[in-house]
Amino acid sequence: MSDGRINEQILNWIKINSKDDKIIEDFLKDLIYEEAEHTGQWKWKDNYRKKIKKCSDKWEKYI
Amino acid sequence: MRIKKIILSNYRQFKDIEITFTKKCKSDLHVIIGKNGTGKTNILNALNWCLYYDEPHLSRNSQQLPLMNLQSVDEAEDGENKYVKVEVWVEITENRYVIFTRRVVYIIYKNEKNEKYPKKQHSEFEVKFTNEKGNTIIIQNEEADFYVERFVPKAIREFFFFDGERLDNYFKEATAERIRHTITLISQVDLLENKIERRLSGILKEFRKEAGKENPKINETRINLEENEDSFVSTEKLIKECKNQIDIAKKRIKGYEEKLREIPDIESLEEELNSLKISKKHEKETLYNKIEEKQDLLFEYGKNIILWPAIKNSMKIIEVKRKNKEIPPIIDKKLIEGILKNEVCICGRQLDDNSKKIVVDLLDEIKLSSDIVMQLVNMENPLYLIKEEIKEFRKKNYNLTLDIKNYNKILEGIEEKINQIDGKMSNFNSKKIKGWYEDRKNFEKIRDDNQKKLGIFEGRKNEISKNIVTLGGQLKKEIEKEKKITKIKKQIDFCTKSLDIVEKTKEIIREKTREKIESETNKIFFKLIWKKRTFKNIDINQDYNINLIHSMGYECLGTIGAAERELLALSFTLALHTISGFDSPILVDTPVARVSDEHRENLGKIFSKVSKNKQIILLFTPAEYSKEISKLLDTENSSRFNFKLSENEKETVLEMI
Repeated sequence: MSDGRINEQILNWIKINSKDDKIIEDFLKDLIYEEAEHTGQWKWKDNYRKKIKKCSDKWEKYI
Repeated sequence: MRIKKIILSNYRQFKDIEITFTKKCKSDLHVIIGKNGTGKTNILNALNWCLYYDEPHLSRNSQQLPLMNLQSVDEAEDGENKYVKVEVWVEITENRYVIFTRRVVYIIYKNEKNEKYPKKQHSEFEVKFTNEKGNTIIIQNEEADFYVERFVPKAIREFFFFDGERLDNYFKEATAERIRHTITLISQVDLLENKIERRLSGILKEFRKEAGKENPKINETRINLEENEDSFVSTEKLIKECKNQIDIAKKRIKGYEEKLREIPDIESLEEELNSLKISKKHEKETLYNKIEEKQDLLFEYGKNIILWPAIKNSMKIIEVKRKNKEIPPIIDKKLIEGILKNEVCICGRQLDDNSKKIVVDLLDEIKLSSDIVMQLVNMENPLYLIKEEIKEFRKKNYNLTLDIKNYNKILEGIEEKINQIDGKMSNFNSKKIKGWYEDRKNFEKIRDDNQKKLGIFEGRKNEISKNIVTLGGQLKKEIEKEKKITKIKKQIDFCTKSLDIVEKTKEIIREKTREKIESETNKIFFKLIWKKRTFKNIDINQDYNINLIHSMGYECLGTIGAAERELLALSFTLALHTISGFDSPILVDTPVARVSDEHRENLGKIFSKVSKNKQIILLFTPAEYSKEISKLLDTENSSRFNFKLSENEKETVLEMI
């Protein structure tokens, strides 16, 4: 099996491009892992919305 | 990671077969030999069926047959349950396996004609493996797909299990868009592009819509923005299509140019030939006119020419007479004769003897009559004119003769050129070549038309892009002004920023992956190629066009042989394996089918080399597994199998060689 399920470069560049915005960095990484886990159909919309809500709340305080 | 074994039960030709790929030597190379129809390609299909539940390489014959082995169907009772099963054992580390099993249960029925047929009941898919604690874990159905993706992701499976022809065709037909797509898959940019980006954009639209409900101005700007965004997407699609068409056209033009490189331009030659034939006709007509003119000239001056010696003589006589002062006449001979006859002088005086004597002496001196002299004087002018005419004739005749000579020379030159062109054209199939020229012209038109369209679309895209920026800014301002929607506002900002980061990351990753694949393909190709000095490098440019550069500096992908093209595709494939991180085996059906005998050996050596670090399973027909290949691979391979059809042709049996 492939050792690195996710292309490490993607994770690295998400980090670099997020600059110091740790909330967005973690949010996107979380989405990447989640998408990699789900190969078939899944309820992505609820999941995305929840994550956006949660992160943007934190983000509000952060920025 | 390697395939340890494939177990097939009632799958197509295989009633009950287990193929174990044991690595016995340094090379992890395995060979399966079978005549057409024994089910070689169905091994490729079985692997795909087990892992991805489809059979992408199914032949027309197999498409018409049931999945279940015909012998098993025959042997079953009416209403009996039977199953088709394929197991793929993947060895992770020594003696640690992940076993993929797909099973489809059928009931065998009899129809009115007493023919048995299988009816599908249900299917199961499971993955079995031992975890680090030594416990056996079984995962089923959709969850099991996750493990397949970790072995060979479905999206890139064509780079692991494929038909040999694909290797030959890959760069013949591949367009930049195809390579770009492959890079997107390998680098997992598709995960960012087709999943995260698309989904976040969808949710962002919903947030904006929600914000629009609170304020009609926001809604109006949102609708306007979304319309522009939709136009942007559709324009991008058109641009993509144009680029694709240009790319295809360019490749085809290049192909025709390479084909026509050593071949004369038949169309131009034919044009030249036609123009030469017209010139020949014209020059011939002019020549005939000149000949006719000369004939007329000779006819016109013929009498004078015939009489020319006499004329010349007469003129000489006159000249002499003139010199002798006989011309013009001083004394009239008839007058003197009259004086003598009448013996009376012109003054009326009677002639005396002395006078008579003087007149007789004078008469003796006058030899010519003055009439003759007069005649000679009268002739002198016409003769002079004839002389002048003859002079003119000579000049005209000289010019005409020169012209005729020149026209004959011109005609000889034209004839020689016609013969040369005929000679050039006689060695080629002019109809076919003309077809190539015509096709090239058509593709040039397609390229030019699309380039024009591309310019228009690019302009439109820039325009829309500016609108999007302006409207986006407007929408942001309007949302910010609206105090009732602070939460949505944050969510919109959050999504927008996330999308910016995804977009940026996507482009960087794609570019980095392109560079890596280019470098890795170069490394592998130049390590394996038998002609070390012929090629300079492989270039995958910014537009994802792949080019093989000859050591002389020109692009030569279209002119290389099938073996070299196959090696290039194999190097590209192996580079993709390295870059993707999926160190899975390669299974190739008919790996040397398109390769000429002389290069099969080279390719055999390459498979042998590659198999030192990667498991390779090759499926050959007996003809493909020629003496040269056999000499090479018999000693190198870890296992070799032979497929044979049973007597009733409903089952394939396996022989280990």
